[in-house]
Amino acid sequence: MEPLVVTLHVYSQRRDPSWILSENQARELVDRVRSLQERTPFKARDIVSRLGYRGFSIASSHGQNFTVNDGIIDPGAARTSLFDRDRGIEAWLLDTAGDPVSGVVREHVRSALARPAEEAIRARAEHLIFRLPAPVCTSKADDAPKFEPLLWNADDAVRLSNNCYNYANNQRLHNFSQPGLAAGIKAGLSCIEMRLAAEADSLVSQADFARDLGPGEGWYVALAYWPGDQDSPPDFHWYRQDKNGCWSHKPGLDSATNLDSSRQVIKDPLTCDRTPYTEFCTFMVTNNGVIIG
Amino acid sequence: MAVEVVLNVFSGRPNPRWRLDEEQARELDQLLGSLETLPEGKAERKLGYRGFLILNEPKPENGPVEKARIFHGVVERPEGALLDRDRSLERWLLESAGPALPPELHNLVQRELEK
Repeated sequence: MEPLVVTLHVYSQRRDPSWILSENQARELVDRVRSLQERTPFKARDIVSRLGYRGFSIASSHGQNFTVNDGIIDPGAARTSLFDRDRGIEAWLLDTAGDPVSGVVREHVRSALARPAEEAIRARAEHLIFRLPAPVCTSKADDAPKFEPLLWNADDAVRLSNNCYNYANNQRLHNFSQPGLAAGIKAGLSCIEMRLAAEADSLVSQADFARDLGPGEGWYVALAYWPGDQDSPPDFHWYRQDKNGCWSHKPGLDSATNLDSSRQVIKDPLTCDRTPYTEFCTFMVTNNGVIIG
Repeated sequence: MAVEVVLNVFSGRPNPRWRLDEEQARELDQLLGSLETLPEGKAERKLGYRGFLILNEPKPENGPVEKARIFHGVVERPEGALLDRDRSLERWLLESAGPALPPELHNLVQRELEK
């Protein structure tokens, strides 16, 4: 039987500990997995970001991998996961570690494994579905869209064909919208020209986002600019203020997010980490009637 | 199946994209096949240069389908991640652009690959 390498995912900065299973151990692992009867739709990699214990991965030299976490035995994208209700396989894998896993880490993993798999999965699902934003922002606009990233991220066709301007205006048009285009303007790549082009789309410039906006008054967006130089071309980027008062954005064809370039919640796009869109252009107000193209 | 490459760099402007010819598409498959697998892999993307996307030729009724993402030595694919240890795949994709990429963008990516 070919060697199997086990990796315990537990650290954030340091390299995670790995060890090789003996032939007998590898056989026992296969037997333990084969004896499982229950299945689950969850994947072990649907891991909600958390620190500390995040499961095990098992790799063979032929690239046959599977991952284990919260009682989920995940054989990869193509196959359904098995469910190890009593988390016996995780506990057994921990016991095979030997020296690479220190006493403190071992205790940490043991206490994580004490949580029943069913409870861990339920918490994970609730976290994914009902996750509430941290109460750090103040709601400013009745019309502002909710932060619902799945509407933009779950489907490749939606994610890949809508940009930051589509997202800021909350319009999934599948056209990588450009400011001013709907009004017949081909905007140059500068702050002023972008602002004027957005104004032609009926967005309205604002000095800040201090004033509360009532029903029908729209919501705040913000325009930033990547100046560029002879070795890098310029670009623009838009943020929007969500219903909860925090800001979010969609970097081009990538996923919408409520975090800035330093992975921090965005309370104010003027002061958040916008690297490399370092030049802040303006706040504006958009609304549901704005036509973009 | 035709393969399209997208340089993922802009947020507002359309990203540059180009199509691989048959020989390049075959070479890409070979390069992908030669890489080590990663137990888990997701490169952290910020704003600015965010790697390359490989798209299978979009069908108008379905929209584009993402085959792989290559950034910072990690190849993300639905069937599992790969390790592009010396970023040679990223370099190869950059060179596959040919005249589709203006010199300033080529320079920008070159600089990123040297980091």
